[in-house]
Amino acid sequence: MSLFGRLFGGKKGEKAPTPQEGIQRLREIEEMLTKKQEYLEKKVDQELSIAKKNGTKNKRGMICGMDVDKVHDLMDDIGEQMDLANEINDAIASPIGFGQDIDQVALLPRDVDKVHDLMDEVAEQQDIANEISEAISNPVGFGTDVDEDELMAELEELEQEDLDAQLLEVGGPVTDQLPSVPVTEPVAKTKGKAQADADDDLAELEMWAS
Amino acid sequence: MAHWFHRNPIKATAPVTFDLRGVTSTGPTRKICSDLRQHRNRLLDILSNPNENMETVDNVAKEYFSLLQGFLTAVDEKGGESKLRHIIRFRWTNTLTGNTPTAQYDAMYEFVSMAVNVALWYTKHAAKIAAENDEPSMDEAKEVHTCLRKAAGIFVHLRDKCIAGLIESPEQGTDLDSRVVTAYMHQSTAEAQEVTLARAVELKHTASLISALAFETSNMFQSADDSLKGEDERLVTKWRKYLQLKRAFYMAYAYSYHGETLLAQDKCGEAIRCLRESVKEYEKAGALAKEYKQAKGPGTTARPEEHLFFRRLGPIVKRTLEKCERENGFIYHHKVPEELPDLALKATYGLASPEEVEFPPPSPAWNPAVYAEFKVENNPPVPEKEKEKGEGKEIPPVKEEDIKHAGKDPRNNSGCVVS
Repeated sequence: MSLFGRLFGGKKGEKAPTPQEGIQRLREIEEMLTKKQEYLEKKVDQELSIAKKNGTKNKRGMICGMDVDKVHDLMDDIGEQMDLANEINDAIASPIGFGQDIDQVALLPRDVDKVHDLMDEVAEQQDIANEISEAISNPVGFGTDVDEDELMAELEELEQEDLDAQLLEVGGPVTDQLPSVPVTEPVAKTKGKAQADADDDLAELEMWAS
Repeated sequence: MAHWFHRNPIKATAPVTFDLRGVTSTGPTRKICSDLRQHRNRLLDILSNPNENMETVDNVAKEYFSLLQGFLTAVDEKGGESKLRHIIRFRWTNTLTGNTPTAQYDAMYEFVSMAVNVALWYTKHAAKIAAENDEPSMDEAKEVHTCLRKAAGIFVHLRDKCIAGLIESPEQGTDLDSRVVTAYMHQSTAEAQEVTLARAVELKHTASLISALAFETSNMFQSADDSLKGEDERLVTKWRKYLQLKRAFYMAYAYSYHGETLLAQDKCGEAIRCLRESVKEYEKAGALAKEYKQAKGPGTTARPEEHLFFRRLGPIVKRTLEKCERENGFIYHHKVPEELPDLALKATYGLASPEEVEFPPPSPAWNPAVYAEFKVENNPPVPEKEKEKGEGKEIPPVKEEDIKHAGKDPRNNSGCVVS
């Protein structure tokens, strides 16, 4: 019940202490969860592309990539967790008004109950999130307890999808040979947006300084 | 930027009459000498006032130097060294060594010493503009930047083209000592870079560019400090502390922005390592600021640790570090590396390089006929005791006009010069 328990105290009948603070904290957590989701999605994409690249030739590489499906499932749970965070936001923000009048105060116990229920669910999701964290930080753990045959079957499905997509393309040979790694410096068009921004800023400063 | 820049005192000099009795017997030759005397006095007068206008100083300096040219280079077909070069004894104090002057019978010595004073004036004028405004405008910031680049340009020109031409080799710790001149050049360049960096921060340029600029600024202060290694500690301790504290401060800046860049690339572990280093450097800068305040040595004491630009960095870095540590615990779970990630350098040298300086050609008053009228052979011989350099009574320091400092903090976000 970590963060939320500390936040809300937990006694029935008590007014939720500083709801503004609560909302602020929840917003921060929501932000972190969003960031975590984006990060995991990025990792998923990376691992999938590794799996496709390695194919049936490199079993180990493939297995690490395929475990990514498990992560997909866990990520859905994160999505649920974020929805819960939003629900708590609403539960706190709407009925417990900042300019409280007597009628609304009567509503408080019921809404606090609702908040407590939500908190319990969130705590469960928090445990799931911890599971995800461990799963991500211990990739070695991934390889051992997965059914390899299942994974091989899934990989072959993926490869087949890829082939089908390529066959539909007009022109261009289908090959499972990857292009060789370039040996020269990448040219300007491969620069990321951040690099381009930095160059623009530098040009602006040079103009000012001269 | 109130109390931001350390400045050494300008050089004092004994008056020179340019009265060459036997040598100047004609109207034009006497006129050149009396003009030289007047221009020299006028120039010395305005150089003691950093509030003076830049254009005025430029013009008066040009007039004096163009008149002095005839004492440096022969104004006839043969060219080469002027016959008048060793005829007058010039006495100057040095910025670090107090009131005892060094003296040379050399017009080149006069030229270099006066040029150092002009360069120092530019640095003090820059400090005055930075100090007296709560929020300098873009034009004022540009003037600060220009002055510092001009000063750097003069120092580098003197070091590379003039000092080697002196007959007597400079003593250690004097302003003609090439290590001292190099330190002044690096300091001026670094301070010009500070202005560019402050502008980049105010305009919220990309973190990677700011980090590179800060790293470069820090390196320049390091070079200035390195130039003074081996000089007499009694002369340079205070000055070196200032250079070291600026080095540490800009290193803290560089690591702070580098950490932000790494975090944006999801390299959270490395970001944390950078930010911890930034905190360390910032604390070092604070400690050095205290030592600088207490150190003995010539120069006005700046108080950079009181300035908003300095004060703001500490809390920002700590907050960013906490954020990274939180995110690492929740999202990334990266190991924080032992090794410090390298700071990147961009090619930004052009932003604060010394400005090329050109000294004026001989004044129109000089021509071969007038030059020929100077009869050096009529000059009375120099008394023996006057030939010794370093002898002679002390010259009192120049009474420099104060720089008024803005009392309050700037209202803008970064505490830096405004765009």
